[in-house]
Order: sequence, then C-alpha cells, then structure tokens
Amino acid sequence: MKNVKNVPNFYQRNNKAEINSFNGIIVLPSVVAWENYEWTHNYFVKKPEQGFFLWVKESIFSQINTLVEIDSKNVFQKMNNLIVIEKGIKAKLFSTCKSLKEVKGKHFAKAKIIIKKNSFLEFLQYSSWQKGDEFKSEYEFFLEEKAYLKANISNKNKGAKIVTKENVYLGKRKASADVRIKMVAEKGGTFFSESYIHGESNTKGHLECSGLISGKDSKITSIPGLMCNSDKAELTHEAFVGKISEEKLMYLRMRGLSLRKAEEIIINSFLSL
Amino acid sequence: MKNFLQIKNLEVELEGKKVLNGLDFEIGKGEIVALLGPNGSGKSTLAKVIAGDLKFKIKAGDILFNKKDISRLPPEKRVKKGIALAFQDPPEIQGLKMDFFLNSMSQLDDCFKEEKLLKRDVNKGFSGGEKKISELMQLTCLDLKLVILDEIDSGLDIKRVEQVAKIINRYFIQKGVAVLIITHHGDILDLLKPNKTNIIINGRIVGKDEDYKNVLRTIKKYGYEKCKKCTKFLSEE
Repeated sequence: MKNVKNVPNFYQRNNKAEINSFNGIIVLPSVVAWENYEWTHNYFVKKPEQGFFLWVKESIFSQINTLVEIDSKNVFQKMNNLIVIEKGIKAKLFSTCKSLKEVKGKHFAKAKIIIKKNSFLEFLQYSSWQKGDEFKSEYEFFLEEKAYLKANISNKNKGAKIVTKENVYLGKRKASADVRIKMVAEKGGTFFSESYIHGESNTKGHLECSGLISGKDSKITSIPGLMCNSDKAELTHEAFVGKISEEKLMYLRMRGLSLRKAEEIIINSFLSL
Repeated sequence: MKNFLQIKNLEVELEGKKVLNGLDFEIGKGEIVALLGPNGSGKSTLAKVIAGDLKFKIKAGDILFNKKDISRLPPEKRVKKGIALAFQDPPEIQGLKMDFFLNSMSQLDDCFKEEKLLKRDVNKGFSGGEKKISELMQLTCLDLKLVILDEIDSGLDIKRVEQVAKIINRYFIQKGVAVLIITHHGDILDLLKPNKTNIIINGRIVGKDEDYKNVLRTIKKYGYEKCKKCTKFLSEE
C-alpha cells in the first residue's frame, strides 16, 4: 500500500478547482473524466459541469481527501462526483464540504460510489453550513460481491436548509455496509434526510441515523429505510433525534465550561468521525 | 475557619417533590468532612445542589461560600469560585477525548493524569474504577477550594481505594482544599481521617461527630433508623 500526505486530492474553493493526484489514484475534474473515459457515461447522467472523479486502482495507506469550500457570496456549486474503487482495493476517503462564513452559498452534490468485488471503502464525510446556505446531496453507493462499505456522514447545520439522500445498494452476495448518518440542526437550521439500504440475497447492512436539535426553529426530518429484497438479506437500522442531553451539559458546566462552550463541545463530539 | 461553606435551613425540590428539608450544614476551610446516610436520604442531592445542578429548585435557605450567597450562581461560576463535584455515575460523552476535555477546562499544570485514559472518549466503556480515577483526574486540573466526592470509593477494591485516597491526599488535602466525602464505607474514612462526620436522613442532617469511628460504630450497631434522633454517637468502650 502506498503512503501519501493528507493534502486534498481534490480541492475546490467557490468555483475554482485544483487537483493533487498521485500514483495509484486517478483524480480528475468530472468533466475531463467524461471526455477521457467513455465508460463513465454509464454513471454520469449527462456531461458534468463540476465535481471530481476519483479512480482508485491501488490500495492507499493514507486517506484520500477532498475539500470543497464556499467563502464568497451567492456561489452555486453543482457537483457531480464519481468514485470508483477497483477490485480488491482497501481505501479511506475523507470528504469535506462547508461554507466558511455567512455568504448564502448553494452546494448541490450528486455522487456515485462504485465499490467493486472484494474491496473495502471507509467513507467519511463532514459538512458544515451556515445561515442562508442551501445544501442538497444525493449519494448512491453500489457494492459488488464481498465489497464492504463503512460510512460515517456528519452534517452540521447552523441555520441552513439541508436536503440529503443516501441509497446504498448491496447488489451482490456477501456485500455488506455499516452506514452512520449524524446531523446537528442549530440556529433555525432544517434537515430533510432520507437514507436507504437495499439488500439482495446474502447481504448485510446496518443503518444508523441520529440527530441533535438546538434552538427553537431548528427542524430535523430523518427517514431511515430498509429495502429488503430477499429472505437471505439481513438489514437493521436505528434512529434517534433529540435535544442535547441536559445531563451532559450540566457535567461539562460543572467542570467550569460556559453553557455555550459546553454545547459546542457536545455537538462537535457527537459529529466527530 | 468557620463559615467557609455554610448552609442554613435549605429546602430544595426536584420536580415538585421536596428532597432537602430544612438542612443545616457547614464545612471549615481545609476541613475533611464525611457525609453518611441511607440510600435516598439526600446525600447526592446535597452534593449536586452545592455544585449548582440547575434541575434542583431552591425553595428556601442560603448556601454561603466565603460568606457570599452562591445559591443562584450557575455551576460554571461555582467552579470559578473553587467548588467542584466528582460524580458518582458520570455520563459518557462519545467523541470527546479525555485529553482534549482536560485541556478545555484546565486551570492547573500540576494535574494528576492517568495516561491510558487520555486517548479514550470521556467515560465511554470505563470500568467503575476508571470512572472514579477519571473524575479525580478532572478535579485535580481545576483550581479548587472545596471538592465534593460522591461515593468516590463505591465498587472499588481496597487497592483502588488506597490509590484514590493517595490522589485525594496529594492533590487536595495537602494543598489545603476542603473535602466533602460521601460514602457508605469505613475504609476510605480510615485513610482520609475526616475532621467531622455527618449523618443525613430524609433530607436533613440529624447528627454529627468529630470521630468518624463513633458514627460508624453507631450505624453498625443500630442502623440508620436509630440515627434519626442521634444526639450522641457510641464512643469506644
């Protein structure tokens, strides 16, 4: 396995993107992938405008990083991402997207993640959005035979409107997935989050959706779903949405931390990946 | 020094139910004071009320600390004044690493730190003994004048009790920090040798003695029932 530095392999600020590729991975803007590899047309619905293409052909010791940020007013990012993990590969991907200040940004992301036979992907995503932002994401994970996905997706919402949808398709035998979605709605932020695992014969999947709400106008709608298409599939889910634990807040305050600091620590701990 | 912590006629409610009932209590500067009582008598409630747990409603009475009423102060301000509580059963905080937590609150360089706990999430999966050590670790990082130890010895074997007592001695007693120790057992009292020992029953202090052994002897012989009207504890024969 190769060892690489933790620099973003794809970095986009507002609408300007940079690529940092290395051996074993092909990283391209999605539009270039569309032009260079005709097979990608099977995954992109149409020619993409923005977004990244990650093709992992060798196991990578360090994590692959992508970072997409907004720091200017009224930026609209329309990401179309494609991630392909080749057969027998073990990889870890850390994907971050966020707004750096209140700029009423829009970030719409569609992603397809293909995890081929005998591969393992640890997928970590952290997003953080502020008042006036709009974030929409639609992720689809396709798992082949004996592929394994471990996904932790954390979204922090400080007054934004967020709509997310994840579909995990355990298409072939012995494919398995452990998917955890965490969300925090603060300062009037709203979430509409749907997450589904689709299981075929001899597949296993677990889905956990949890949310914390702080602030009177904040809202979370969380819809976890299991689509079991075989009596030999084993799918489970857990869900929880609630306020920050008073007991934990009191505990931290009894260590001298202000209410605000205690809330911040509990939220960040909850979202930690 | 008298009146370091002085509680007068304290009445406290929790969800409409009276849990402390005209309680009088005091601790002098640098004193080691023990508090004994049956389950549900109000020991942990008193500890939390002194430390500022806002779920308890003070209906009457004062809590004076250095002659100033602290009964309306939020818990973090009480810590700034030098009061902190080691929880009997602290909550788990998943995702919060102990070393980060200690750095977030740390006021002192001379903290006790158990290395193997520093990289773990606060209280998550901790054994009973680890929880107690974790609580002490946190308190040693604060600049305190009064520590309240709520059953810091419960569930520990004698070796662990000795370790806990050593930490309390080294980081609190030797520095002149007053200690309120809530316990059911004599072992830790043998090691800490409190200056006085109080009995609490039904939310009131019903008796106290300067010799903890007299108190333990009385409880052992008659149980707490007899202590409801304790004016005198059994001396050594």
